[in-house]
Amino acid sequence: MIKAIIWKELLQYRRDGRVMSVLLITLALGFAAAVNGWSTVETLQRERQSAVQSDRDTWDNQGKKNPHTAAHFSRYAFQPTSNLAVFDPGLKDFMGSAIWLEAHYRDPATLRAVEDAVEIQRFARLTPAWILQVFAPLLAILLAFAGIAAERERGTLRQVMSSGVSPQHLFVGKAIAALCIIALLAPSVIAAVALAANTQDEMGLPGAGLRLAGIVLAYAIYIGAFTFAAIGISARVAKSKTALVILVGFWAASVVFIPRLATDVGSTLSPAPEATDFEARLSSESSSPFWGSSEAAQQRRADIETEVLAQYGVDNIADLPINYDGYLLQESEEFANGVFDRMYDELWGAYEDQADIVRLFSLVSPTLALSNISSALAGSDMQAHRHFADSAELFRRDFVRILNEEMIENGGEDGYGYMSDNDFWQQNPDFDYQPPTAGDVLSNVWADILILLAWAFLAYQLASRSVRFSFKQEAMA
Amino acid sequence: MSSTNSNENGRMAILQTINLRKTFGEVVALEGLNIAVKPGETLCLLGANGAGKTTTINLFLGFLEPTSGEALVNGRNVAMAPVETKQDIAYIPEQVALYPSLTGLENLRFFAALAGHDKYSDAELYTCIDRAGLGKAQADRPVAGYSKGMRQKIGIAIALAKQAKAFLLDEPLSGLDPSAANEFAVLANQLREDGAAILIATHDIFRATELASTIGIMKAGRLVEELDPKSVHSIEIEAIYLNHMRDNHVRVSAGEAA
Repeated sequence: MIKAIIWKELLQYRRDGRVMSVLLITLALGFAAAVNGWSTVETLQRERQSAVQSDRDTWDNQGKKNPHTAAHFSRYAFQPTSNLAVFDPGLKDFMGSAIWLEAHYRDPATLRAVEDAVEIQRFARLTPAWILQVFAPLLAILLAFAGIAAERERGTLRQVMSSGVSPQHLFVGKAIAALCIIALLAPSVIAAVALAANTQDEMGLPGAGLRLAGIVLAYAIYIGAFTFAAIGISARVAKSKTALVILVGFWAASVVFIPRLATDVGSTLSPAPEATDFEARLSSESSSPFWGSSEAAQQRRADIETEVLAQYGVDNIADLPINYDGYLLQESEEFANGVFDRMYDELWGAYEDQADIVRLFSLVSPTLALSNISSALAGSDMQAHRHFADSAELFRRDFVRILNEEMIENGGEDGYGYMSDNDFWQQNPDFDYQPPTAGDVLSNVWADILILLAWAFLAYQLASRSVRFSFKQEAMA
Repeated sequence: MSSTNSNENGRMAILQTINLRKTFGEVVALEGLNIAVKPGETLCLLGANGAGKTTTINLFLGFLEPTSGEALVNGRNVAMAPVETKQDIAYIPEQVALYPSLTGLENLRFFAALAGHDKYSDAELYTCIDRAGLGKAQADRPVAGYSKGMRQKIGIAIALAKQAKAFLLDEPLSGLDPSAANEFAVLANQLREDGAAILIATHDIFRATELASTIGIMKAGRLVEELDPKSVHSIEIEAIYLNHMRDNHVRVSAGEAA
């Protein structure tokens, strides 16, 4: 019986020019998005590989230089791009992919990128994920808005009921048929995955298969929720046109207006500091209290001197077996690192609060919940960027410590006049980024997963109950 | 066709009601209805709007649950087995509703499949359509361009494909042109001769006398008269019917005056 309903629905869809037009347009957009995504990711990966090599070569061959001067000559940490970014680049394009690694300094490029993220989310981009998030629900609505209402309007519902069809059979048959049509968008997704697979996976995203499966499942649940809701509304209202108006209104709210509103409310209720202010504060709070001429700064340096002299059992700096300038530089790094940790925790906290506020809005917009899950699993969300930025910062600290230790151990009396050469530079390690596991990512988006599942469950209940309701109404007619 | 003995002549009634009662709140739609339609019989229910004809059909279809009493299809209580009893029933309303973008053949295939007959070949389905009086070329056209009579024929073809034992026809001739109505009457008589049990709800006394083996006159939810058109002249049937309707009218008028 369900098979017959599916067959009939598919036949009707095939003969409906509107459905085929929207399907073909969406499919074409999906393919274009897949190619665009692949091209972007491949370019990013190629450029990164080139930049990584160039950075290494420049570092290795910088010649004779004081280690601290080299620490200011600096290096870069380049963020690798996940292959899954072909499907969903998330906020990647807007968060910057390189972090400047320098002594006494945590690159505020991180700040600018994340600060931009709130505004960024307002922009539509031609990516397979965006196409599916925006157009797949619209297609679901187009397919299902008349599902029950039109049957009632033309009288076939009564005819179908007289054939012994149960409400559940009719609902399931119509839902499966609509989902079969939406599944025809899969080739564009498959194209994105195939192109991604063809791209060298420079990130080596842990659990890539699991992440991909999670993405497919999340989109299936999302599209299912819209399909069920469309059938439910269609069964609940008297006219199919009314159902269409309600559903398109819900789509516009969920896909367009609520995400914009959510980011606006988020940034208003939990404002992040201005980039220039933050940078100025970062610089002054990490430097002046240590290197400044204030009494406290002088006392801090005096205490360090007293401590190190006591440690080595000597009376003056000239008798130390180490280079004191290098030691003081490392002490200043440790001091600044504490300031960076405190200030960046505040900053990320503000963004976390914004994300939580946006997440609240996903209670009225499943698109927001899906978007969070999708970009998280693709390794292109804010958390992925934070993970990279934190890893780069840890590397920066090690990188600067190694340079300071070179000066401490080998600088002797030369201090800032001590020179290291290419043999030393070439021994310095590279930044080897290890992305978070799929499990870590899922733990970040569990609330979004629950919200999306709740949407699907409620939409299913709405459809199931509404179709039963429409049968009762029709029987009484 | 009397209601009380459904096994008269050794044949079980396909459509039967036993003390069937249906109320909607304070309104009594059916009161103690007892009818039985056996294979090869046609019962035409005549009556004014609100007499209970369509309610009777809806109870056989399982669309409504009886307040008391039973509606039986092929011996099974509809309220107990609403899905199974529908397998034996073909329902043809005044307007046979079909899917306009599908051809007649595709509509037939769909509704036959819903009834569990999903193995028919095209040839077998065309045979049903042919028996219903429609040509192959017409069957291959989308039903959006069908006349009401053509839709009725697809309705009959669906019933044939379902191998229905009982037909519930709700005002099937209303709005048909005389030629189409004649064709339909011939088909209905053919179905009856082939052994179908047919229940027709209609206002049309002329067609009722032509089609029925028994005419039942309903008034205010009750079966007030059972007539055999073979033994009672059509003019007399008309007079009896109009007399009942006049009583009804007088009573309604009196009620309104009160």
